[in-house]
Amino acid sequence: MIARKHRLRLLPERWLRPWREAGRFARTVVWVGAGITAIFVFIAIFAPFIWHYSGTAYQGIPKLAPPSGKHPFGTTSINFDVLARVLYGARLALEVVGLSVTFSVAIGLPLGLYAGYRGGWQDRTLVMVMDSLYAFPGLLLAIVVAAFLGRGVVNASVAIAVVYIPQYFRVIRNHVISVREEVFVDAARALGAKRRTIVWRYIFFNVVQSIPVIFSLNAADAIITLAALGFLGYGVNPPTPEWGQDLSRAIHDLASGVWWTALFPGLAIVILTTGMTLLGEGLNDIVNPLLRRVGIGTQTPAIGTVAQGGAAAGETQVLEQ
Amino acid sequence: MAKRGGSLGRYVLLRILLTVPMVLILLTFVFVILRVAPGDPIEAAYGQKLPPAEIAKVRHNLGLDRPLIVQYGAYLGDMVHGDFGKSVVTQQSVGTLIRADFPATLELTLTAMLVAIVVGVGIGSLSGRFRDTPIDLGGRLFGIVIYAAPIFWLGMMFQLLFSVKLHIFPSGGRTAAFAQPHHITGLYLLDSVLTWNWSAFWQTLRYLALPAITLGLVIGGVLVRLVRVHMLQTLQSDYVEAARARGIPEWRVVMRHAFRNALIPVITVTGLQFAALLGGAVLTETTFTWPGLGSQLVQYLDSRDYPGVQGIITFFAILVVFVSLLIDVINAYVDPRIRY
Repeated sequence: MIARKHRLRLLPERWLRPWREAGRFARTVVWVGAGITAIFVFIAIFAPFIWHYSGTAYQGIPKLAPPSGKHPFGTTSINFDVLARVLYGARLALEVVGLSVTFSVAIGLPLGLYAGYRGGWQDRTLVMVMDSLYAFPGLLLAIVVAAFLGRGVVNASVAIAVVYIPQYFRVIRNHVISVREEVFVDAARALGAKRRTIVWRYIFFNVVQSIPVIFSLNAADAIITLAALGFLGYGVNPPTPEWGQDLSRAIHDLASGVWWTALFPGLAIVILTTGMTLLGEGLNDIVNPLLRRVGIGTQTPAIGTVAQGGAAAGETQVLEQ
Repeated sequence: MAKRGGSLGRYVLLRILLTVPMVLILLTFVFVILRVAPGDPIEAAYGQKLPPAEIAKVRHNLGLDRPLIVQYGAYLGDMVHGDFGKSVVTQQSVGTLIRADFPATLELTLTAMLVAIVVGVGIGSLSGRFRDTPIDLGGRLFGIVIYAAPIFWLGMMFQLLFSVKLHIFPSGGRTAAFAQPHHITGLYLLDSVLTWNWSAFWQTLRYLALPAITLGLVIGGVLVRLVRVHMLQTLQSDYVEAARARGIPEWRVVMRHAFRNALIPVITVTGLQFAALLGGAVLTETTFTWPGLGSQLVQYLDSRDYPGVQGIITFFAILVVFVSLLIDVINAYVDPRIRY
């Protein structure tokens, strides 16, 4: 009872304190990133109201027309309006990112909690398996899984999710291990709390705060991975608007000097990914006080696939000191 | 972490032993995904194209009619002998193909790594040295934006600019027709140097430039952030302070004291990036029609040649594990604190 009251009072404060302590730069980074991401979410939701062509409309649209008032981003070789493709592509990208991240959290988080709290050979085995998967090139892993599952929104999401499961597992597990030894967990144990209560009530809420950070970094990475899958022909079924697939078609237009089919979908990817990266980086700076304490300042070691390895390595180093 | 200060030999041995289960897990994963998957590879590759009797024959020849556990054992056994299996479609040995195509991928990845290190270390250390100045901001922005760019899109933009518009570099292929140097290692740059064939060297370089720069820039973007952080840390450390206090000129402090130490972690990350480099190589090769293993993998995928895919993926897996082993050993050699 006492421990619970204590936690309820402390928790919001604990979550907000880093934000208040963070410098103006870190906060700006978060706001810019969140702003860009919000714009894309808006586009994804309201695409039909923003532009009157749909992503798969081709009737009455000329072939390979350069950008003009009627088609601001030009048209493709199969009579699609590039602006419409870009707008509806945002919809698909966010859908897949949301799904894939949900899948990887749903698997990585419980496994991380289990391995971290349980310890022993179960932990070692899981770490071994996850490390092996993590060591393998993420894109190749996604390609293999996608090749096996076939094209489709859910399939592509699963293929991408497989890549990030080890990262959630790793971060959660390491975090659990450090939280496990905290006094309040000891206290709960001494009061005779069940293992399930300890894990879900005391450890879970402390560990779960690192999820948004990995989430936004992985989401950025997932956009690129989805585009890469689409580019190689393992994304979603055509004619669903998907940026990577559009780029794989645009590559044949390049030789004749057609630039608009390639430029705009790519720019959309770059801007959205940059936004999400900024959001993740900023959050990471704010939430991860360990990195601030050693004086690394407003920059984390690396992002994306390396980020978790880098951040995790940084943490252990600090803990060892 | 219990035993500190073990000998290098022991560490290396332990590290090699740890590699075995890692390889085994990866091989099992690849096998499970590609072989146990519903729909068998022969059906996928030939489908309606062959009569059932013919399909059964092909299946038997490739040993795909045996129980899965036997196939798994055979697969692992073949790997021990360095046999990467056979393509279903062409009936060609994947091992032969790897020997033929891997040099192209190796040449691309090594050159890209060089570009990445030059870009990453250059921009990263400048960024770290001139912290919070416009140089720093530019360097960090470069790191973030280049990381956000899909590698194939970056390559396409380069093609558009340098091949289509400016006609400086060719947009694809490995070298000009009939310009290949005499085959020694399969690495065209090295072969042309060994045979003093400078025109071949020049041609290879022209074709290599865009793919290598594309791949190198993306990997370099990650290095920039890392080098910057380590430069910052090193510049704040006591011995750099001590060097400054002794009156050593600032450039010398930066170059001799800080720079070299900031580079140690770069070895590790360069190794970690190797996996990303391979993934990136697949995309780069596809974009620039570079005839390497990545293009071959995509071809196998397109023809649904799963044994072929399995062979190449397995090779990549072993390569990645081997490189990470190598990096760890180098690190342990350079930095004795690592040998736990």
